[in-house]
Amino acid sequence: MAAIVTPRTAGIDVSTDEQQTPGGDARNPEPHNTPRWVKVFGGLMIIALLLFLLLMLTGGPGRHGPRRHLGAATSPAPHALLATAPVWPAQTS
Amino acid sequence: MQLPPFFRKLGLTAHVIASVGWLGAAAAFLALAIIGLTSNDPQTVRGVYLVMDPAARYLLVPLAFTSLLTGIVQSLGTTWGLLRHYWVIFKLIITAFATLVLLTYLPTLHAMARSAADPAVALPLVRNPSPALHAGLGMLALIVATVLAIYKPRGMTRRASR
Repeated sequence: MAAIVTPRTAGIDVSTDEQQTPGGDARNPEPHNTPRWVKVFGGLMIIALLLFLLLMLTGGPGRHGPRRHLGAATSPAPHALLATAPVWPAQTS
Repeated sequence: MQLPPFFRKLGLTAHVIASVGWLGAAAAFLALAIIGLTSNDPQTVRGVYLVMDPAARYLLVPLAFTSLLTGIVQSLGTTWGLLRHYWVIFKLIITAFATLVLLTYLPTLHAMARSAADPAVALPLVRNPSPALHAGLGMLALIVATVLAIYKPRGMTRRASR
């Protein structure tokens, strides 16, 4: 006898965004505890932001960091930005 | 403040279209950047860097702001809230940061387009790996934001549980 396969029995999540409500957190018995994924994710984001700030302050390797773009906003010389850019080792015309 | 269901769905539709559209546009941008680095045809290379500037200005930036604004409206107009759930906060930070980086990158794209338009600038100087790097990292950030929006991992802030 063939079993009836529905999305639910197949393990497929059929809930829509409208059905997913914040009520899911009601299952969490200790809402005050910060979940582990938040700590890990937050740590990674802080590292990424610090790296960005470091590149911003130092100018990055070969003065190629994010600060370069801010400099371009005040002095939009066409080739000044590219003067320090590494030449891509590609075919010449 | 809770939005009526009609406006909630309308806002959600606009947010999904803008966010996924932004991700798709970033993927197209990455494809262009790779063509710019690898193509043998000088006209194609110069054309790629010329088109990146208006593409970012008139496609990426509007999509980024639409995604950010609809996301804020959507969170404030539903029970999710802007500062109640960690996933919403992370998504907001990712979107705001990606928009900020995009805005600061616009002058560089403009300078690259001007160099590409100048026949006196040699082709190796026109080629630049920077757009590929930015588009790749941007895509990664937007994929993470999309995953957060779909999975909605549990976890409420202390502010919400007060």
